[in-house]
Amino acid sequence: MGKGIKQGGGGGGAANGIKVTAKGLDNIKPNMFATFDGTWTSLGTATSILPANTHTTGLHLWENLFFYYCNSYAVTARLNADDSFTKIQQITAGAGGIRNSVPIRLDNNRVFVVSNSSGSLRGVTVTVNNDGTMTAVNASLSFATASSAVVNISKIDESHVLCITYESSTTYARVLTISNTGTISVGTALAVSSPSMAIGAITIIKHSNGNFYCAAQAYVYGLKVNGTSVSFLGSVNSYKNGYGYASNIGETDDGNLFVASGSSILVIPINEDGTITVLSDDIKAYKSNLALANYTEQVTGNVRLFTENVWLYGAYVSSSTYALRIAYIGETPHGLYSGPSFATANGIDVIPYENKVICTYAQYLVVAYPGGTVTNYGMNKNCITKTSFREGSEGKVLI
Amino acid sequence: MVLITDKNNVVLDWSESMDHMPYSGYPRLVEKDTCYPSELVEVYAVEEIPEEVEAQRFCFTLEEGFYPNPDYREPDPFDSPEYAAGYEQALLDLMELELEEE
Repeated sequence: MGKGIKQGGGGGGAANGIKVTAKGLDNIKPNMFATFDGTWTSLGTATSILPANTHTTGLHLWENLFFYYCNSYAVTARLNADDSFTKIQQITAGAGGIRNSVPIRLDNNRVFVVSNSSGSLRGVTVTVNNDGTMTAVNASLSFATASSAVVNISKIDESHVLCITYESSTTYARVLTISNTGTISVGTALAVSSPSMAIGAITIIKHSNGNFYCAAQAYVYGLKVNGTSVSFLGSVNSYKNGYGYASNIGETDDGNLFVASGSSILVIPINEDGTITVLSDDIKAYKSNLALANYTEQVTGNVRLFTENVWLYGAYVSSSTYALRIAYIGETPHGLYSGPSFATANGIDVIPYENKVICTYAQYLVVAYPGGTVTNYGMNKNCITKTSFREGSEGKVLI
Repeated sequence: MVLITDKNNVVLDWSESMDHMPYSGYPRLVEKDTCYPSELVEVYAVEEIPEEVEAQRFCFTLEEGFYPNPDYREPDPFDSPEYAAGYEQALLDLMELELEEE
């Protein structure tokens, strides 16, 4: 019943028309996958690469080359065979804030990021040459956002980006058109007031149906892009059902949505027209003990997919402690494991790379190796896969 | 003036004029280049917006005109006191770190 989860609904208001069968739930229930003892066998020597005191988001470009955007700077660095890093170049690439979006690749050599500098936004286009050197242009965007708000983007195509911001209890979605020279035109804003669309977008996926779906704390919502116009595909309040905050989103094998929300994984059916309308009483959250952020510990950096079911992220633990965390979908052992802690206020970004994790904190890059044995992590083909959390199949959560 | 409210009569926005988006048909406030999902809002033509009216803080109905939103609460971007507190602390930490290094 691969498509059975989509039965019913169909219309935008078919709140009671969706019934998920037990078989439907089976379709997303993870089997037994990984064993992982939650330790980290080693943490490499930190290399001071990045500008200090910055909010950093990163992207693996190609081979051993990594891109980071920090405050108003773009940085490229190579990972060496001995796990040290070599900075290739650092350039001024924008007017920085501490709340920049995930960087995305527009095409092979162009990276795009939106930086939020006290509510004033800039779109930054960085061209990365094959040797890691860069040139950048930035353009002021004609709209503002809350100074502390998450700004998030998702690639539509090589010249269009969906940009989601939040201001004054309203979430705005706009299409940015980026020219070859880095100039940016802004499409009409779609405005949806909270609570229907919550607080911007924590995580965005481009679904295989061509639409975009966002996890945003208490809500999950959908957006359809047509040219430079954005329309609303409905929202589901996940928090109201006691499942916690939606922080990460992916696509199930049969084309519906799964959402990491608190300590649960929720499944949200997508109607044939792309709308999402209900987290039905028939849809029971699969309690996976996948504990992403909770009330006392926030996701501060990117959530990245390490294996098909193992996620990594930086977490705010207390006022002076941040930690690398690992969580995975499984039965035993399960839950949340600690990685190295960093006494820094900077969000920790984690990029899975081969069998290691590239971490950022403060001005440092460091390699961490998960300990124990990550084995048997192949998933049943009907389980949760297609986890293209973000562009380049790398997850991203910004808080 | 064109006034947009949500289905609970809460004032969302207003502008001088309105048209419709070509694809979705959503009402668009022309001067603000902002559209709203038709199914979530009501659109009114009003003569004027009183000075004291603010989005979210006021409601509007044809019968009652503008009146304070009885359910208004200060926006919490993270929709959770715990979350907001943590985030604020994180920002404070960051600011402290920046000051230290300056």
